[in-house]
Amino acid sequence: MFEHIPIEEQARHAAAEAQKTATQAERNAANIDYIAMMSDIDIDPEEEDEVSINE
Amino acid sequence: MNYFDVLLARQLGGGSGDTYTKAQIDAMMQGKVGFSDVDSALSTTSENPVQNKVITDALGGKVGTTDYATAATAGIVKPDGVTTTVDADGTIHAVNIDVTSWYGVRDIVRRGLASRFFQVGDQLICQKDGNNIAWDIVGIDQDTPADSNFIHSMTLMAHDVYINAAFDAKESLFAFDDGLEAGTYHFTIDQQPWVAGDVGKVVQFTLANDIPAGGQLVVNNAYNATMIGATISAFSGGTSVAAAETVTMAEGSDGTDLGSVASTLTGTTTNSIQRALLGSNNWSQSAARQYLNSDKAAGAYWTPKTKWDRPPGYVATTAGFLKGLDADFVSVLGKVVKTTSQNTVTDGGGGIQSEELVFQPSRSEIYGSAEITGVNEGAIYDYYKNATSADRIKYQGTAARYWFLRTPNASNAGNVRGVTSSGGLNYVSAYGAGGLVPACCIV
Repeated sequence: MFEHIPIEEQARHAAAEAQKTATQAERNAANIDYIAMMSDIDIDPEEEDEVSINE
Repeated sequence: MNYFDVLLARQLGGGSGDTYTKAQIDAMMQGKVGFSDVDSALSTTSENPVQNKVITDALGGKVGTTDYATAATAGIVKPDGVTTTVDADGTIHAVNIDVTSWYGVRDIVRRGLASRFFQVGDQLICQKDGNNIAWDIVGIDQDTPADSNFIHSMTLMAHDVYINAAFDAKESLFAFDDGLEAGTYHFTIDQQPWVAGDVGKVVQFTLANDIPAGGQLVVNNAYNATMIGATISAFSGGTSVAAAETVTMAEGSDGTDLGSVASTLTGTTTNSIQRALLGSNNWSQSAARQYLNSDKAAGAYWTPKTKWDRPPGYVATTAGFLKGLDADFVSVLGKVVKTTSQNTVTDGGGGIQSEELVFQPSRSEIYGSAEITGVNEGAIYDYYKNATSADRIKYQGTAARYWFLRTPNASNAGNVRGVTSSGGLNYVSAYGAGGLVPACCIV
């Protein structure tokens, strides 16, 4: 890999990298929210029994 | 004389009845070509001479009015990506410039054009093990290539601390070329810079097992703690990491005398007590230099550089720095000539010259000041000219780290110069965990 970042571009490059990091953090937060939301869904134990292969 | 002879005689200025040898005719023919037809235009089929003015006009048309490449245009990129270079003898070349690859960068450097495409302070990025490493350009044509076929260089220095690692490990206090038999031994502490109470004391210990040839004895007390009551360990050699035996030292003079220990080297068996307690500040013998210049796996690159040398722990768990670096990046690096100060306690002071591929910068290259008066460890890199302390701070992640220079604290055998987390110049023990900031040159 080769990349050249002129000194004049470094501030902008750093800002872009920070933005990417922030965006990733937002995605991670969104994923966490989604997982939390899914974990709030109650599963009816009886319904779970109905699909048990042990029966 | 026939007709053609007459014509020839006239053309040559002789009389019609004269006769000439071939040599005379050849001499008289010099510069006289008017006897045959002379063309007034260039032709692709005629075998006749052509008028001077016709040739002059034709050549003039070749010159045209477009600019020639000159020394003044050397290195200027044209819209088609082609630039010009001028050799020392004035020969002008048009060359393709590639600023998108490491090989292209090396080509630019070798042509002496680096300053036209790059500035000190620019960053170049490569990868190691899939992660980016940012290199600051700290100098252009400041380092001298070791290979005399090249004259240009561009010096890179990692923007961040790459690893927290010891410059060198604590060394052994004794090393035995011919081994040492089991038994009781003692030695006298002539100097102990950090524990005044130990100075003059005689220390004894008893080994239950023989030490083989090349074996070592390592004291385990901290540099600022007494040896009385501390332990001493026997190792079969410099590469052995498991102690064969560890026994306690006590005050006393029983058994065989091993001599005295001091900051200086007192014999062929006894090391400097400073190096036994702090490690060595000799860059050319350091573990850091071995780590930075190896592409081998963990445990495969460290070798003892002296009979007393010992390995720091990370060489058994961490691959050499060059391993996992982009191969095309590594291939454009070249050795440069460096001078490094030598401590005045064990190494005789002065400076030693070496060829370095990956190195830690020196004190003068970062601060502009000499460790030893008269020893030039290199001019300050342009990147650090007019720098503030804050500009010298290096980070590992978000934490500012102390980072090692390659310069020793010259009045000591075990302290290494470095840059504090505030950017100031200081020193720290070689065995301490400081940051390594690799530097290297494209040659």
